Amino acid sequence: MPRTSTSYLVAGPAPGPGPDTNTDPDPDTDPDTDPDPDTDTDTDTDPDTDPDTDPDTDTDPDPDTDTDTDTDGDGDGHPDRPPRHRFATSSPRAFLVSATRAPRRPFRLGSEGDTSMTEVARRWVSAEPPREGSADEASTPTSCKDPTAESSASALEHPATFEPATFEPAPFEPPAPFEPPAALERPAVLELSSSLTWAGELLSEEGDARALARRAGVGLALACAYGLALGAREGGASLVVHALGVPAALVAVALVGLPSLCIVLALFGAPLSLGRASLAATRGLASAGLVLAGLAPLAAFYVVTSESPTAAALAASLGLVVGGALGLRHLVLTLRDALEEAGPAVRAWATLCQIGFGVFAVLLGWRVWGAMLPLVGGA
Amino acid sequence: MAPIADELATILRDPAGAARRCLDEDRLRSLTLAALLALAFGAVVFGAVVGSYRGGIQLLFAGVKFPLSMVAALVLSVPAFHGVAAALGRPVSLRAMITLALVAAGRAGLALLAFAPVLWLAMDLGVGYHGAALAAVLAYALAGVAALGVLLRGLRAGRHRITTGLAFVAIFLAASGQTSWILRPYLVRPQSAEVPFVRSLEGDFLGATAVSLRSSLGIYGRRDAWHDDAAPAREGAGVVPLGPWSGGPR
Repeated sequence: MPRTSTSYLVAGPAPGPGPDTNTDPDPDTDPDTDPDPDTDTDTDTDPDTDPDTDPDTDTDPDPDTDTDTDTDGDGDGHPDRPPRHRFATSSPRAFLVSATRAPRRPFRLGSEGDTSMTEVARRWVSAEPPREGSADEASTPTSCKDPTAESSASALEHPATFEPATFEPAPFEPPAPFEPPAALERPAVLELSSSLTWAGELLSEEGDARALARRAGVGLALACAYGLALGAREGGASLVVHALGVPAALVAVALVGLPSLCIVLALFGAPLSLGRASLAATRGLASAGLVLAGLAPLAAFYVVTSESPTAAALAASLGLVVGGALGLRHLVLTLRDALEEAGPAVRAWATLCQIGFGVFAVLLGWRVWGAMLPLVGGA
Repeated sequence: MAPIADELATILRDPAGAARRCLDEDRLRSLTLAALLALAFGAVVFGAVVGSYRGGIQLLFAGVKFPLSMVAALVLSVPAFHGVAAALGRPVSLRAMITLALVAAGRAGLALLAFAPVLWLAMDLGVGYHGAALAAVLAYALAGVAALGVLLRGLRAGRHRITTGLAFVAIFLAASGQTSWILRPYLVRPQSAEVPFVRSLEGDFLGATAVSLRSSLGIYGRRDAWHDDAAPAREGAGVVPLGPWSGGPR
């Protein structure tokens, strides 16, 4: 049977006399203990019976069967295995002596040396109670504790109560590459903001009819805020008049103009559903209201602090134009998204219709504002 | 004090990082505090330097009115920023937008603080009234560019970024123009005997801009061509040479 060197289980040069330090667990490979010479192909006579002599001086004459695989020269019997702790000895006393003379290494959790100590401890715990005088008794490791000491000496005196260290290093697992949770990933600005802000929710494309109605109402209420700002120049009833007049144009465009557009688009075979048209109107109202409400403080400041009515009217009109234009833009874009599935000819017709609708909406809106808002020349 | 200094360094050196923190609402308290301090201190110092052209009580008046004007413009602009950004497909929370605008204004305040010694030296060396006004306007414009760096970085990449940035600029110009007009004068000639804290409500920023544009084209008309309901204008009051920066027609 081929035999590999077991020198890595053998303590280094231990001083003093001692028993055989051969700890080879396979008795078949040990010529000293093998009772059946027929099965032993190793012709080694192993003259090393004294641990005082260097076990590395194995005089095995059979190079074919005794292949020393320890090519890295560290005495562990493996070509690339790092050197082991030298705590595995044939007897507790020998172990203690050798361990105390062994070069101290800093304790490193998870290192190769610690693994070896753990392996020794595991073997010691799982081993059968050694028979007195048997070879196993000699080969049983005694402890994997750092042998400083009194604890070891005490353990030698009371071997029955001597307990090895029980630490088991956790099996090494390479750390998984860091993957941020999906919620923390930074998507595009639009998606991020849409999911977080009130304004983004207001302009969302999702929701049932009730949600759409609520958003349209919020948009109209925001437009009322701009009307209040315009009415601040005169105060009193002017506040109410302007607060009602500003959203009136938006309502007129949504209720008068949009159905006409839907009818015309249907004539050309555009696949525009009523729900989609309602969504477009809602987004237009919400967008216009959002912008108008944002401009309301600035508009109020202008119309109150401007000396001439012309300047106040100009400031108010600028805000109305900006808010109305952005609302119309949202409405038209939503309609265009709804027509993506249509053919090119239908889309071309739809584009023309939308341009016409845009002109109509501007004229209608200006007509309503001009009629209902005193500040811009109405009423 | 050290955190404030760090935040000031962030505002100055890393506008992108500061804008990112605003949008992420990350440690806003210290950042906002630092921006407010920078805005107040820089504007006070710059205003005092502008007021030092006449000296006396105007130094105090201008030192108070400059930060007041900037803060008022911010208060008026931020809701519009919020609404316009949302309508252009870039919705940002109101909290983040307020902080972003404050940080931008704080950066402008630091820039004004840097330009203040230059302006003071120019005045001390005897630069004329119009030259001083022009230098002050130039410094104010450069500070605005510094602030715009934060705002544009806060918009991040994507569609309508330039449009949104231009909208921000237009809104802030409109707001700051009117607030500055209301709180004028800032730069007063040394021979002026009396200096009011603010002038009475006469004209407006849009009207003054229109008149100034016509004047730059060589069209000198009466002031009430714009203010059709105004009282007959005084002689020589039809031209407002430098808008809110001037001490007004005299």
